[in-house]
Amino acid sequence: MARMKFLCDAERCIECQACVTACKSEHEVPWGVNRRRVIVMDDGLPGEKSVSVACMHCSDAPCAAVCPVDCFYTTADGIVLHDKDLCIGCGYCFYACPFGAPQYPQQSAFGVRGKMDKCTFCAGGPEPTHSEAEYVKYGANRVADGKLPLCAEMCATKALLAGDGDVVSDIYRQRVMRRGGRPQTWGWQAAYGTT
Amino acid sequence: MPYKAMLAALAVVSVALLSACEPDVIVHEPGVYKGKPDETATQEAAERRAQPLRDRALTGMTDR
Repeated sequence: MARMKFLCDAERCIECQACVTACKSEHEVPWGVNRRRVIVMDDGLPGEKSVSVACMHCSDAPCAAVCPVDCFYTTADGIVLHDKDLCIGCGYCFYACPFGAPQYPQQSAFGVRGKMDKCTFCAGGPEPTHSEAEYVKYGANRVADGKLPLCAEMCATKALLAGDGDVVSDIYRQRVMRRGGRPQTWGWQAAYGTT
Repeated sequence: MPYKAMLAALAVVSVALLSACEPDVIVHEPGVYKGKPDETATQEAAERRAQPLRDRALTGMTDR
């Protein structure tokens, strides 16, 4: 069985923010909520790297483990989704997530949090597929149409990969082989040298 | 004596009221999803879309 994964190739990401824009546009994400964002390390310095980060759809999702109302579920192919009708906006998932994926719209004065919003891997949520309720709450359901997340499909340099983990790792492995056989992940050369 | 009778009557009424409580108390299992079912989360749905998604990844994300 396939397991859906994201992988961002830091050697290729050029910080164009097209993935962020594509996500916001496709799902009409409310103002102030970023399901995906680009993180830049050593900005402006030689060796600057950037990576595109969103929900990584963890195999053993910590957000689901801490949710007091148990509104998270994982699809058979590993996409972590949640039911917004159950969410109480407590923020526990935000503290548990190592990627800062959960986002909260500000619905009223004094910073009161709304229901949690996060990347759905463009797989909608627990509403009838392609219904208006699904689009309003969770965004477009591209996966049901046999399409991959738009952020990855829009990536100009193909830095952001999405799909079945086996396919994604094969593509990345081939790239690494072409680059000289070393996994050029961030910090590798600094830590282990060139040999 | 009327006080004791009153207490006894109160106890009988309390027991009667309590016995009228809903017997089917829902005890939620912790850590189990409580939301609405999602038709696209099932094994069959995942198997149905696996190959098209694999083909799309190989078409769109590999270098030409």
